[in-house]
Amino acid sequence: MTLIRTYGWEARKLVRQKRTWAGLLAAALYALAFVIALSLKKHAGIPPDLPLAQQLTRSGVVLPLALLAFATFFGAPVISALVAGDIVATEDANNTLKMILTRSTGRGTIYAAKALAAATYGIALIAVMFLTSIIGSIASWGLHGVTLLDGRPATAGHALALDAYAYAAYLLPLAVLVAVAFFLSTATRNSAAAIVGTVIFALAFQGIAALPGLQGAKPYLLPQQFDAWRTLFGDGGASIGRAAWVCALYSVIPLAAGWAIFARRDVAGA
Amino acid sequence: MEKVVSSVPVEVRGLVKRYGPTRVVDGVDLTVEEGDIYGYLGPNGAGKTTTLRMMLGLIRRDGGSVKLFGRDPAAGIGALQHLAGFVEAPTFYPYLTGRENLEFLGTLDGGVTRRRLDEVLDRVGLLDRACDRVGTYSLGMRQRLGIAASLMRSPKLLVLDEPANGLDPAGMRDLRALVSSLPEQGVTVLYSSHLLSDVEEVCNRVAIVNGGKISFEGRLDELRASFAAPYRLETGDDGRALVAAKASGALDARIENGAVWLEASSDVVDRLTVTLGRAGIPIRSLGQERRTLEDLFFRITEEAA
Repeated sequence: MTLIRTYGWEARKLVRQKRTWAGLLAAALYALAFVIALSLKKHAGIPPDLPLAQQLTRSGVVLPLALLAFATFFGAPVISALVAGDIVATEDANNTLKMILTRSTGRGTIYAAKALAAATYGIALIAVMFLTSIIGSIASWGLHGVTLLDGRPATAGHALALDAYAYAAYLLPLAVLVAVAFFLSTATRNSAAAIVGTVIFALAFQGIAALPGLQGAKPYLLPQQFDAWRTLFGDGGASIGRAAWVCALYSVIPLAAGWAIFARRDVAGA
Repeated sequence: MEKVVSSVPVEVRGLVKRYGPTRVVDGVDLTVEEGDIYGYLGPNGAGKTTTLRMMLGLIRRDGGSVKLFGRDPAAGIGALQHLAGFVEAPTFYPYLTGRENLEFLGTLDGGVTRRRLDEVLDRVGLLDRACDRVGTYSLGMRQRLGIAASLMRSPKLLVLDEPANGLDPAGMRDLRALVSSLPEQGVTVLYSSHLLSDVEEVCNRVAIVNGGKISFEGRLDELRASFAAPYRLETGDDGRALVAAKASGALDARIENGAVWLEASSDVVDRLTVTLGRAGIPIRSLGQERRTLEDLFFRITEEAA
């Protein structure tokens, strides 16, 4: 019960901070800018290997998928780290840790509540991107059925559900970025360092994935997990199970390392 | 609620904290008894706040032991169950209101009723500003909110570190009245301050820390007794009185500000008055000056330096 109540307050604290709304607004503007750009330029910039790419102008359910593919490289690390990278560091900046750590709730509960609040922010971020892109896209191209990659037709409702599922699957690798930002926030006690560090982490993984001779390891690298949702549109979501456990593993490591630091850290104040 | 395993609120023995080669706290012993208002004094950098941080489990110690009602804060937050307070300035979330900050802290303590919140906010005079964001509060208001946050836990031990910072004269008067009333309600107070007049007014026992070591620990009257206060003697002939004083065995005697000042035992002063009477030197006034805590503090800390 204490964890739930503490989490409730951590979430409430996020809601009351401008940074949270700035992150969500950035996500909405990012999605909206994407919709507007593609409305104006039609197919320009759409990766040809994107599922249903050829049907972009036929149904509003396709563009949100293009946004997902684009966000992996540009945007997701920064926007996710904006709040997750701040959530512990801001306690240091405000000197509030010394206040909360002398109450009757242990460090473990506080750490877990903050991690859950950071995860909640990640979910809100994805929800905002999904809703903004789907509303904008449907407004541009309407809500129509599509043909899946295996040739089966999907009604508009089914395609919309697949979109939602794709965004839910995208949460798995995003959780890794949130966990890394959370760890860096705990370890560095500095929001800016946590944000920059998360971006560097994401870019480093992109670089590693591009290295030759890593074919066997590639399915287990982070960039591959960002693409797991693609298998929903012709392969029954075959990669999503693997993405779940790989991302869980990638998330647990920074969270555990962060906890090791948080549990033992001296809180000396300014 | 965790049970109390000892009635002694604070027992610190041989406490050590090192930063690199420097021992900022060097074998500190403190005992705060139930019902005390215990003043913890020391110049800047003496190790006061570091000691308090170790007591609250905020930083790890390098040696010694801390027991709060018989429990070690390093072993877990259970030791803090009966304790409340703040180290340095109390800190809050500026984007939450005063009431929300207290509600959050109350949640961390297992829950707090609206009535209890109103009580403590009223007690520190913040009820009418409770719904304003803490970011709009003055330093003094934050200080009062810190005291409210501490009282909210109904503690048996209250640790206050420079609680008068930022308070206006009326606020300081209210704080002193509040602190003075706490022992009657079963609350022991550990009061760290550089305002010696405040400590002198409210505290019954003090510890003076200097260079990481305790220079004095005990009752205020014991502290005064350990440093004899000078006698001030006004006579009809100070020059002859000074000679007589020195001849009577005074440790020190001097003429200053129109009087003879004596560092002497009461026996010596008794003999001196008889001598002056026999010598025909009129005594206009004789009295022992009261040493202020400030005098004693500087004497102890400067002697140590």
